Amino acid sequence: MPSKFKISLSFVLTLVIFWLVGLNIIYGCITVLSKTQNRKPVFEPGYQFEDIRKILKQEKIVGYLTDRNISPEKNDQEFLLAQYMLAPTIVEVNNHSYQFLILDYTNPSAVINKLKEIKAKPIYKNMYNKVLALQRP
Amino acid sequence: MTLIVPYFISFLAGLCVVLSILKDNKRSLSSLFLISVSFGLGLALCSMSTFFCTILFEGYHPLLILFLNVSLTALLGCLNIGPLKRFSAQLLIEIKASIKNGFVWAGSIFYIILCFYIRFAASLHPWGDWDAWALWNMKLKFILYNGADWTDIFHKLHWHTQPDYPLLLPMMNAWGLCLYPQYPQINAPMMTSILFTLLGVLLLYSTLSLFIPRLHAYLASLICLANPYYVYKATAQYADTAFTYYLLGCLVFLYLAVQYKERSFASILGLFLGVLSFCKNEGIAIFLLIASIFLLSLIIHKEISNPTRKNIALWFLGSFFFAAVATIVLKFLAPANRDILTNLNGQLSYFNWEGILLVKKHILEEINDKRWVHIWHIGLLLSVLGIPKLLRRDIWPITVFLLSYFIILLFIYLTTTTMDLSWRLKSTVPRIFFYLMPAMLFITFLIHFKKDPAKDR
Repeated sequence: MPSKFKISLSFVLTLVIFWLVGLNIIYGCITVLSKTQNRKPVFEPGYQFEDIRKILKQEKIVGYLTDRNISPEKNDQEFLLAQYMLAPTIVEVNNHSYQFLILDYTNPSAVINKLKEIKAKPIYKNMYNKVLALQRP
Repeated sequence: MTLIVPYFISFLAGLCVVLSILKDNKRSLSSLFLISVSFGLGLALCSMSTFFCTILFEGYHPLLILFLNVSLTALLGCLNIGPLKRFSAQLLIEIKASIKNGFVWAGSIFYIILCFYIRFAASLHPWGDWDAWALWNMKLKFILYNGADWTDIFHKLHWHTQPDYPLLLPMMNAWGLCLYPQYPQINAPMMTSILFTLLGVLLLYSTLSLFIPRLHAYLASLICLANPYYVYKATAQYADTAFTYYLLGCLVFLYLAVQYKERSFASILGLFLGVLSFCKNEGIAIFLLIASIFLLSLIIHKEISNPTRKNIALWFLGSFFFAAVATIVLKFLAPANRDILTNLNGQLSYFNWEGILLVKKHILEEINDKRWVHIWHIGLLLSVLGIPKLLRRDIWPITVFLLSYFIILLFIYLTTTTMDLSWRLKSTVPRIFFYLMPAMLFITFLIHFKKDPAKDR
């Protein structure tokens, strides 16, 4: 390859890279401006379970009963949020073998039916419709 | 302030290890290069020592871990007083030479501005994204607060929490919090993600500037830092950020080891690979690939003698196994992975042409995604224009690695059985592009802008 062409290719690529960096910097500035103007408060993940965590501090394992989809593709993260907030308490999904149970249902009447079915007593409910129930051994 | 202390101790430990390994190396390596390599290796060393302490002493004991890591660092320091003095002298000389250089001033000021930008991006998601709180920081809480039962993370949590995943990142954050363990504290995970974002870019710049004009090396690093999507993903507190850095380190030292056939570079390559395997499960596959390629290169390149060849191979493998002890121990504690190469005897519904087309569709969508601001278009352009150079004597190992890794990823995707492939691709392809970006920039800039090979330092 003639040496002139080699130099030109390197020069052209350098210009292309300058253009790319400049474009990214401009895009970055626009992003920063838009995020600064539209900034919303960020809450700790699992804030819906924070008050329940204060009650369950000493518990090793709690049951988590739900009618939500917990498949990898469609789960809405609620039980993972619960696990994060309640850690190091272990959250056992759809297992009512434990004394303390968290009921997280999309339908309030489903909560009542489930409580009757497993003979558990609700002891706390928060503003996010998460119910903490106690099951007699 | 107390948050910085563990990170500084890690840096010193890593510096001692790197200087010790490189003490007989005749190559001229810049201080910035040594710093960017040392910091990452030091953090990994302290993370692994935290892991072993947590196992041996049945729980997280921050002061004990601090004492052990400080003692280890002090011991390494005492054993490497000479190399440390030489490094300090070299650093002072380079700083004095740089003070008069306008390019260095301008570049440094721009980097500092970008550091504020990285900090801003991190503050947009102070608890990280999904995997950060659902996996890594959740496991961190178990390590910090569950005493001897911290091992519950392996067998008692829901499989969604990926109990088989390696623990480099949570152990690193646990080490970062040893003087400040009150949780919920987001500082250590955020600090780690910001640090690895910077280290990856500094490693890219400092390595490339050994071989290509500094302006081009600087532009390569700016491509990463200027892209808001890259910075956002880097500060998401995923293990991917550390993985990006260690993968780049592996490729850098693969290049150096193949180029110069020196035992010291092969040793550090082994260390990086060992650390990579403790960072994410993909690290094990990458070790097998890079080890095969490196050992093959030792056989193919006939200019070194057999004893030297064996010496280099032994140091490489020895260093890898030294760094991979944590991974090996973890495999005895953690359950098997349930997503990768499982159920191969069963029905593989995606192992067909439709599966390949689906993978291709997602890859093309990612390349064309406006969030990357044409970075991958230019990367592909540079790759295509440099095809003859990709098989050059010093470059072919990296080319072969990237192609082989792509084939392995394709195979893993096509053998998906436990979830929907489209969802899996949507979740993972952006992250693969993220952690491969510095590697792509490294190889493309190297092939196009490398100075006369005869004048290599």
